[in-house]
Amino acid sequence: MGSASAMIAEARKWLGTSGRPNTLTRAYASRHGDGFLRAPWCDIAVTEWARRSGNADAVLPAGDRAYTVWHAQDFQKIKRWYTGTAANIDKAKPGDIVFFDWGSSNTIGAIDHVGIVEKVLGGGRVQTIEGNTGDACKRRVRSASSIAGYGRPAYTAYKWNGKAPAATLRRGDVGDRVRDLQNALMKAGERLPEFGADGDYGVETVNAVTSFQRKHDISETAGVYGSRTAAALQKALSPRPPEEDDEVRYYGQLNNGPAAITPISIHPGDATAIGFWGDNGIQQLPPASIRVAIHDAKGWYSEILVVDSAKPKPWIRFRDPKTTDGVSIRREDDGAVAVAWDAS
Amino acid sequence: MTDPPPIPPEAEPEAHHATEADEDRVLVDIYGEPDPDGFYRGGG
Repeated sequence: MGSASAMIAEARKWLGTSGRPNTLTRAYASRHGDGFLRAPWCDIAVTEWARRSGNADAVLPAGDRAYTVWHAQDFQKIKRWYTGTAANIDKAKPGDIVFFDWGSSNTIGAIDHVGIVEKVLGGGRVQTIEGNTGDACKRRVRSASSIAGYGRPAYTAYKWNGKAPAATLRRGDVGDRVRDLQNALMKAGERLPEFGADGDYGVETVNAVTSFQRKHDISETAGVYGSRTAAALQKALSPRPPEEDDEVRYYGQLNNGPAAITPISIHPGDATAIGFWGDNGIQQLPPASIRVAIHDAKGWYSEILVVDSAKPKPWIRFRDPKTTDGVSIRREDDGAVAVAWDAS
Repeated sequence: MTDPPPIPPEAEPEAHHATEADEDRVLVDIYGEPDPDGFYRGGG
């Protein structure tokens, strides 16, 4: 499954590629003929990046392209073409395919070069990655005066799963795992004021990781998202257990025995989370396993929890505390371990 | 898939050069100094 960040990540891998033939032109020539081995390769690069990142359908709506005019027309035909005015350039997004002419004409027939938008700089400018600029793959800064327009591929929408990604990530990494990290950092209160969750582990992300590490007293290489930082970030994103001085409004003990069910009524708005603990460690029993079903205005949702006295107390934060009015807990184990609960 | 595309013509010289006077400064600001070959490879 493709995405804009995967497309950009692929493009970044080729920074520094130079000369003809190169790996990109060889790949393209293997499908379309040796005439492309030494052909101008800016659009060949875009084609290969799209194919290698799972974005062929989005970036190449009419198939492989080496001829930029045809490629731009492909976007125009599917109504995903934006003329290169300064106002439009400021609305470009990372991953857009940007086409150039050098006479400020904005006419598709005058296009002879292409690249991918990596960052939108404002003021009618973008920072790009381009193949075959100086016969190499480089980053450039381009303005509306040299941009005929851009095509917006129908990339698969990225959606954060709400979790911190697994370690390790560091400066220079790109892609959706970096976006996961950036979203997680922002959710944890860190700031990425300029670039946000752009999938690019740059200076801003290094600073945010360093800040998070400092606040959480994590001894790990500053700015590198390692295993300790990952564990702390995931913990920071977990539902906050009530503090000692929070008012515990409801508490009790689960019914024991296999498949035993414990129904709990909650007055809407009284509690925001429910937590569990058990004493399996005393008798060296296996951890308890329970299915927790919660009811609110949208209906039921459920989650299976493992309650192990050797691990932190598991909590579920209600998705809509204002309308949460009931919890039903079913033992998924043999019911041998006594499990208590509280909600506050 | 449509017909294979034609071999494109060489791009105008501007395609091969910086067209913004402050390009290096902008790229250094985002990515740090270029490598010895002049490529900006850093993370932004």
